[in-house]
Amino acid sequence: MNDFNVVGTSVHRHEALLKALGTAEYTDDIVLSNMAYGLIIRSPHSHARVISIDTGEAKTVEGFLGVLTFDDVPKKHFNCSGNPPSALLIPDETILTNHPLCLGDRIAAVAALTLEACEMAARKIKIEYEVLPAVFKIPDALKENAPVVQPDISENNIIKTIIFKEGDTEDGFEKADFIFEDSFTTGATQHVALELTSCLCDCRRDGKIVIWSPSQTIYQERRILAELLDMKESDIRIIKPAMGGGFGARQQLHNQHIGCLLSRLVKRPIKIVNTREEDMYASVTRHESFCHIKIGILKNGTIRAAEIKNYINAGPYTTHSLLVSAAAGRKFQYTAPDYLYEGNSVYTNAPTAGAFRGYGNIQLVFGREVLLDRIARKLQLDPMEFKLKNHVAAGQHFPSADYPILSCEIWACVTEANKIKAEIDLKAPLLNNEYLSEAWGSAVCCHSSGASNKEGMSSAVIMVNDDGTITLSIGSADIGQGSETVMSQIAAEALGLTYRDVAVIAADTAATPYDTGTFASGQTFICGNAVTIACRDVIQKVIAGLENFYEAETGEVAFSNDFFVIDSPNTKTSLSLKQAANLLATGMKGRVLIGSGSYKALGSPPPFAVCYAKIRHDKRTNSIQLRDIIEIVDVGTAINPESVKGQIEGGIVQGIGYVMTENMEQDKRSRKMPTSDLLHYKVPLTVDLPDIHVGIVESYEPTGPFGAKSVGELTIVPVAPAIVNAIERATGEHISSIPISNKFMPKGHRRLSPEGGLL
Amino acid sequence: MIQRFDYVCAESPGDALKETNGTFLAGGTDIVPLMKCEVKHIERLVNINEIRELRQFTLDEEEVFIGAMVTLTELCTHEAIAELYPALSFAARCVASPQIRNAGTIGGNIMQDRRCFYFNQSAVWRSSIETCYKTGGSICHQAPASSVCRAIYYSDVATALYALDAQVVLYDANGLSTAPIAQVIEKHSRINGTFENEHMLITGFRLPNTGKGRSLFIKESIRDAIDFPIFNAAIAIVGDNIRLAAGAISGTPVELTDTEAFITQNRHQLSGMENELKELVMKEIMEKAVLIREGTISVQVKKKAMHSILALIEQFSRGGYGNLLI
Amino acid sequence: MKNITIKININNTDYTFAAPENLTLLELIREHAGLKGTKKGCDNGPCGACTVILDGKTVNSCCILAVSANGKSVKTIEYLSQDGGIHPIQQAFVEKHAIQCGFCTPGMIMSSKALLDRTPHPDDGEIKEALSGNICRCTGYQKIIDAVRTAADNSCRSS
Repeated sequence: MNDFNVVGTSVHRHEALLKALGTAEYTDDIVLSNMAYGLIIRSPHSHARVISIDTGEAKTVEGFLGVLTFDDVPKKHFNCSGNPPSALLIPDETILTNHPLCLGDRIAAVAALTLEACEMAARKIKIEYEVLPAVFKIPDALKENAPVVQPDISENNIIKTIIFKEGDTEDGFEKADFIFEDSFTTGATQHVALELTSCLCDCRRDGKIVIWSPSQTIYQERRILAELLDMKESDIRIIKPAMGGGFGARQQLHNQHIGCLLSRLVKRPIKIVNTREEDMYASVTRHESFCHIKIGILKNGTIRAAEIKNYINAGPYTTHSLLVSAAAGRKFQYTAPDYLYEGNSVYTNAPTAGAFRGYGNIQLVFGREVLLDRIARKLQLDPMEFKLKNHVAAGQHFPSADYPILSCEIWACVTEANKIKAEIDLKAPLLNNEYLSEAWGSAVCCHSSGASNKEGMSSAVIMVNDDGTITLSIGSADIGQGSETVMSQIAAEALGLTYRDVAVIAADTAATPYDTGTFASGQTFICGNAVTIACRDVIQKVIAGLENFYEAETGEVAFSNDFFVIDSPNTKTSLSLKQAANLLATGMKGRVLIGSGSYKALGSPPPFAVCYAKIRHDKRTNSIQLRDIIEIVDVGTAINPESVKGQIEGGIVQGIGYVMTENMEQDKRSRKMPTSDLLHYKVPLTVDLPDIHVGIVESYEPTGPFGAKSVGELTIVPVAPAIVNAIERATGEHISSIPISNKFMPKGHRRLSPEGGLL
Repeated sequence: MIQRFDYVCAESPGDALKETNGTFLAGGTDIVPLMKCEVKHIERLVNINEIRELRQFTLDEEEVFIGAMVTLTELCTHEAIAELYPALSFAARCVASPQIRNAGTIGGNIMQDRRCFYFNQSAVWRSSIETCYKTGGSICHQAPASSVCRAIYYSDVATALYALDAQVVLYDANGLSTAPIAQVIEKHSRINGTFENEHMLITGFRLPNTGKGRSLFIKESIRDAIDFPIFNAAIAIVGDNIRLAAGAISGTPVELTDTEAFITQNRHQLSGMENELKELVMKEIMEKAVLIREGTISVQVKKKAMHSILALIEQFSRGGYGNLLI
Repeated sequence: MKNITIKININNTDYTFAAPENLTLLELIREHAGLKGTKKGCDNGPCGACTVILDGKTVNSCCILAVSANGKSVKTIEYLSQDGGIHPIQQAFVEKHAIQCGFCTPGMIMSSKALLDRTPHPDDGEIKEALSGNICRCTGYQKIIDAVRTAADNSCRSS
C-alpha cells in the first residue's frame, strides 16, 4: 500500500553482531577500577518485625567495607514505578525496612571487596524477627478480620477502586435475552528476563552519581532517585547498557537506591547482581487476578451489556497496581452499549506485583474471551463471527474510552488465520478417538502500550555528520525488542538514507533527550513519532542552509522523494541529504545541521491480534499437548517485519508458559513462595512447543510513524484464552483458572521413544 | 558462591575410600547446586573423575558392565546399549538437558539426592522454617506426622535399572561387593533422607545380557527437558521374567511385583484380561506411591499421569517384546 | 584460605590459575580469565546461559567446579571469532533475527556449535533436542531454530 525504502524491510538488528560475538556489554560485564560488591539482606518471612540487628561480627570479615540498616538510610516513602508522576502511584515503600511485608523485603545491605566476602558478612549479621500474621490470596485479604497490610493507606486492604462506565448496565441486563457470567482467576507469574537484575552505581567524590543498570524508564528512575537521595536530577546519570530482557520487570527502580547508598558509604563503585532466587520473588511478579465477568446478550447475538469486577493482587506495595487495574478497563473491544468496569487493587503479603507484558489486559482478556466462547457454544454461533459482529470498527471507540480507533484490520487477521487453519486441517484433520480428542480454540485481543496512554512523551535529536550520515540520539531504551533498529529505519526512511547511515545513541540521561520510558514496543509509536518530527526539523534546517547557500527565496528549495530540490532562477538541481550535508559542512556558508523533535502522545492506538490454538487431550493421562498455534496481528505498518514476527513468536511462547506451566505458588505451611528458581518455575523450552504460525496483515495507522502501531505486549495476550477455549471444546469442561497444570498434565513433544515414535 | 571446603582428587578407589569424611564429586550437576544452597554441607570433597576404573564400559555375551563414571550422554548414544537395553538408553536420554547429560554420570544419577521443595531452597529461604530430617532436624514439612523424610527420589535411570535387574558393584566399609540395585538405592535413599554422611563408592553396574531390545521406558514430566519426572516407568523381560518398575512416586523406585506375577502367571492367556491387568497395575501403583506436594502440578494430576504406564505396557506388547497382551 | 593450581586450556591458550576450590568454571572464565561472553542466568543449571564446550561437550559452566576442569580444554563464545572473523553460526543468528535481548545467545550458539560439530545436517527435532537446555525468553525459539538450520545449510554448501 505504501512505497517505502527502509521501512518495511527486515534489516538486521544493529547490535546483533556484538551480541552474537559475546562482546555486547551487559551491566554485570562492566568492571570499574576500585569496584566493590553489594548484597541485599532480605526477609525470609512474608510478614515480620525486626526485633534486633547485630552487625558486629560482619565487620570482622576480611574484605568487609560497610553495612546499611534501616537506621542508616532515608526513610522517605516512595513508589518505585517507572511511570510518570501520578496520584495513582501511591508512595508506600522505603529503601530498607524493619517491618518486612513480603518475602524478600529489603532489611539491610552490605558492601565488601568480593562477592564471597559480602556473603560471609551477610551470614554473620544476626537478625531477630517477630513473625506476624500474613495474608496471601485476594479472597483472604478481603475477609473482614484479615490482617491489614498497609493500615496507613487502606483499612480493608483495597488500595483503590477504579470505575469506568458507559450507559447503564442494570438497564442493559434487563433488556438482554441471555445473561452469562463466571469468575476467573489467573496466577502470578515471573518475567524471567534472562539477565539477572543488576546495577553498578558509582557515587563520585564530586557528589555526582553514575549508574549502569538494565532500565526501561531511565528518566523516571532518575527522578525517584533524586528525590530519595536529595540530589539534583542533573547530578545523576543513568546509562542503560545492553539489556537482557525487560518485559516490564525493569520498568521501575530496583536496587539502584541501595547501590548508590552503599557506594556513597564506602566511596567505591558498587555492583549488585541479584541471584535468580531474588529475581524470582524479590523483584516483581505479574498480578494474580480474580475477576467476575457478566455479559448480557440479545437473541440476535449482539452484546447488550458487560460488567466486570476485577481484583488484582498487588502484594504489599502499590507500584504499578492502580495503573494495571485501570489499563484493563478500557480495552473491552466490543460495542457494549452498557458497560461497567470496576478494578480493585488489593494489598497482600504475597511478593510485590508490578508491570509485566500485557499489563492488566492479559488477565481480563482471559476470562472475557473464555466466557464469550462459551456463549458462542451455547448459542451455537461460530465464535469468530459472533465476536466480529460485536467488534468495534475504525471510527468507533471502546466502551468508556474516548479515543477513537482509527485503524482496525481484525477482519483481515481472521481471514488470514482461517486460511492457515484450513491448511492445517487439510494436512491433519482433528483427531477424535477412544483416547484422544483434538479441538481448536480461538481468541481476539487488542492492547495499547504506553504510560497510561496519554502521558507518553518522547524526543529525538539528530546530528547530521559532514558526510551526510546521521547520529540519532533518543532517550528510549532498547530492552531487547529492537527499538534502536526500528528508530534507525524510521530516520533513514524520512531522510532518504540507508539504514547503515544511521548511528544511534540511546538511553543515557546525560547524553540523550527525554523519553517517558520504554513500555514495550509502544516505543515504535511514541519515539517513532518523535524521530519523524526530528527528521522534519533536519529537513527544514537543510532547506534553510541550501536557501542560504544558493541565495534562493523561501519556497525555492523543497524536499521531495528523498531529495532536496532547488528550483530558483539561478539554480536548478537536486541533492541527496549526503550531498547537501557535504555542501554545507564547511566554508563561508557552512552550518551545523542538528534537528530535534519532541512528541506528546494523545493516545496509544491499539494493535489487534487473532489467535487460534489446536490442542490434543489424552483422556488416559488427562494430558494436554499443544499442536498448533496461529497468531495474526494488525500492528499498522510493520517497520521491521521479521522483528515483528519475532515479537509474535516470543509472545506466543511466553503466553504458553502463562497458561500451561508458570506459577508463582504460595505454600501454606512455609507461609511463602517456594518458587525460587528455574527448576521450580517452568519456562517453556524448545521441546515443549507446538508448530507456530504467525502473520502480519496490511494496515495503516494514520497517527503512527509511517503508519505503525505497537506489537510487543499485544502478542502474549490472546494465547491463554485461545488454548483454554480449545481445551474446553476438547474436554467439555469449564476451565476458569490458569495455569491449567493443577488440573491437566502439560505434555510436550519429547521425541524418540525406542520405537522412534512418541509414546 | 559455594561455601569453602577441602578438596582432594582421588586417583584410585582406595584413595577415595580412605577419605572417610569425604563426599564424592562425580559430574557435579546434582551436588554443585546443592552445595550452593547449602543443603549439602561438605567438609571434604573427593573428586573421583580421575579414577580410570570407574570409566570402564565392557560388553560380552553374559553381561554388560557400565562404569559409574560413564556419562549419561555416553550411555544414551551407545549403540549396543540402545539395542540391548532400550529402556536404559531412553531413560538416560530423558534426563535433564544435553549439558547435564554431558557432565552427569550414571553413578551420580543413581546417587542423586531426593528432592522436596521445602529443602531444595537456599539457606536463607529455609531459615524461616524448622530444619527438617534432611537438613538435620526432626520433622518432615510434607507430612508433619511422619517419622521419616518423605522427599521423592526422581532418578530416571534408576527405574530402568530396576526393571533390568541390574547389580551394583560397590566399595564400602566392608570392601568390594555386589548388590541388587534395589538394595543399594533403598539404603542410599534412607540415609539421604537424613543428615548422615554416606560412605559408599559405586564402581559400576552389571546387567545381564537379556537379548535384544526387550525393555521399554516412559517418562512424564512437566516440560520435556530439564525437568525431573512427574512419573516414570520401565518394563523388561529378564530371563523368563517380566519386570515392571515405576519411579518418582516415593523415596525409591518401586517394583510392581503383583503385576509382574499376574503377567507371568497369565502369560499365554492375557488376551481378554486387559482390563483386569490395567486395574491391577493402577491399584498396585497407587498403593505403593507415597506422594507429596510438588511444584506446579496437583496430586490429582500426578495420579492421572501415572496412567501412562498403561501406554507403556501396551506399546511393549505391540512391539512384540513380550507377547503380553495378544 | 589456600588456592589450588588449575591448568586449563581456554580457547586454545594454556592458562595457569591459582584459584580457590569453591570457584565454579563460570566464575573462573568470567572473573579470572576475564572472558565476559559467557553469561550467568540462573547459577544452578536450568537456563543454559553459561554453556561452554568442555573437552568437546557442552556443559553448564555454573555447575562445574573449576578444580574439576583442571587439565581440560574449554571453548567459550569468544573462541568462535578469535581469528577476527565471524563464525557461520553467529552469522546465521544475526541474519535470521535469532537475537533479541541477546543474553541467551552465547549459550545458544555454543549448544548449536556442539550439535553441528557432531551432526552437520540435523533435522528440526535434533536441533530442538540440542537446544533443550537453553532458555530463551524473548524469541519463542523459532528464529533460533531457523538460524541453526541455516548455518547447517550454509556450511553444507561451502564444503
